[in-house]
Amino acid sequence: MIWDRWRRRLWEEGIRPPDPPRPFEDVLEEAPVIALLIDRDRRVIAANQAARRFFRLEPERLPLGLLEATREGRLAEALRAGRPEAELRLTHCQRSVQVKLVPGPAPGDTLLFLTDVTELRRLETVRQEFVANLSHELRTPLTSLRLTAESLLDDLPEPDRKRFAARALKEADHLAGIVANLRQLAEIEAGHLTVARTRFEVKELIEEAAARLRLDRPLELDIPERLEAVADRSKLAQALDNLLDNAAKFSPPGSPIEVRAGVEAGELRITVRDHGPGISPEHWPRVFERFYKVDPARSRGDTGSGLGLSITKHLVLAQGGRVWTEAARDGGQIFGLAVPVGPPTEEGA
Amino acid sequence: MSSSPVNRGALSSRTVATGGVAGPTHRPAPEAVGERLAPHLHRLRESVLGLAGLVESQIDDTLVALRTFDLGVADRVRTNDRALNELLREIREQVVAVIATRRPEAPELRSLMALEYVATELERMGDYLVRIARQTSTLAGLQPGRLRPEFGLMGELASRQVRDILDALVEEDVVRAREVAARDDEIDRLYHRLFDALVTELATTGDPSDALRTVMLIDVAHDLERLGDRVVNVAEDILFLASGQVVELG
Repeated sequence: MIWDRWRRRLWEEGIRPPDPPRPFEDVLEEAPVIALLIDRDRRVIAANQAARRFFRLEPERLPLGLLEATREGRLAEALRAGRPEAELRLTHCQRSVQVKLVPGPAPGDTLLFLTDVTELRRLETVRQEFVANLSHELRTPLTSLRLTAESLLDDLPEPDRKRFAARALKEADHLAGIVANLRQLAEIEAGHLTVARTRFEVKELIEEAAARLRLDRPLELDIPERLEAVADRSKLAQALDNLLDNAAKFSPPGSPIEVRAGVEAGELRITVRDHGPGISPEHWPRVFERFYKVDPARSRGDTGSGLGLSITKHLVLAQGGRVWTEAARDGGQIFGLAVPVGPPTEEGA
Repeated sequence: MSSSPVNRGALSSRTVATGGVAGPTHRPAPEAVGERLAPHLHRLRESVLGLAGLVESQIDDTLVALRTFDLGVADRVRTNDRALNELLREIREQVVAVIATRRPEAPELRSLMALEYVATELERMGDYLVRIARQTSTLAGLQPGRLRPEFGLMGELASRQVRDILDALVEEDVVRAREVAARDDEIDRLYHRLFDALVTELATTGDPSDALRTVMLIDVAHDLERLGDRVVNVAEDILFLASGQVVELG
């Protein structure tokens, strides 16, 4: 429709629009690239489907000033600068795009093509940092292992020998733990996991996890009595272990860990809230990445592999669920997971 | 949304000739003055939105500078503020020129005034960002310490508020403007939490350099809170723009 209008405009200006039965601009309408046609007064006169979706543009409102249509100051700047290609961070929609400017069909017009590269750039960063973080995680126990072995080469009194040997064993176990976790992640990601849904009581699941972890923080539960769900119990248990362990690690001693659960809109939602310092929002999209550290200066406890939250995420995703984190209203951080549940059945598990 | 059609038509660039294909048919034909002024108002709107874009970009940079104590980015914020001031000056000139030479009638005059008010608020937001950038430069020279997450939360919220109020402005959406203004409470709440925590920190620290750092951080928190207040003022301007009524939302 917009392209019709554009064609009409071309006619009005005495330019003959291209005449094949399915003109090129119609093809552009469905192209997976964002395309805007801008006139010499820097008004958007046409926008293809992808552009309308990206900028939430109502076609009836066109033509519109470029800023009114896109609300992106940096895009207007790029058009003004006239550089044919650029990569921009758009401030209003908070996305990164590649911009290409091409002369439009009518004199003075410009075709603006945009490709959203936000996800691509994010993945690049994740990949680059993964190797660096992995080597860092392995280096620490390896260094410790080496030092311990060197000490054992010396003539040591028996109690010290035992102490050093025990330390070496602990470091070796820690390394083995990281490797095991990495392998598990790889397996989950490869889709080798089968989901086995059974009926279980939610409160029981959470209490079991807390008992297993021997948490030294008080646990406050807000879970409806006899709340049942049909989901993959063992995967949820492992996911929950990681969330509780994480909450305990970042909570000051004596402060409670609050767990809420409920079934809403066909999904079981469990949130774990700590009373720690909280996490600044720029880290939220990244905390579930492997080895990601919010505060690199802070060293993780001996037991942590840096993979717990990542495993949680993949265990939940494997069941068609989702994970998130948010700030608690009065300080502290909330980590949540939600998995789709089956309809309650009489026979149960 | 709840703006009167006449006013909306007069202000909006939708009155620019479109060959009769666009726009719902129920809208009454714009008055002669409105039509005459439409291109000017359109240009003015674009200028104000350009200013808003600059402010958004400045917010992003300021928050990056604060998070990373990056002196280069902080300097850039201070330098870029000049462009913001210049744009405000141009907008004011545009408004004066239209009033002096085009003799706008009441609805157009209101649009002109409201856009000028919005532009002034945006420029003030820029001033707060420059202050934060300056404080960041000072902080960068002091003992480094981890920034409390509340700064990130306030910054993120303030940035979202500015983006949302901009949407409300473009759409002249009064309901949305009110919603955005109501969310300012959240920034205030974070500010008070941060203020209490920082004052407690100040009371317990023995090191003068730590004290300076804490005082600087209290200033930063205060400026973020004020930035939020400016968003509320813009919401009030949007209400004025759409209805002609002066409403206190703060």
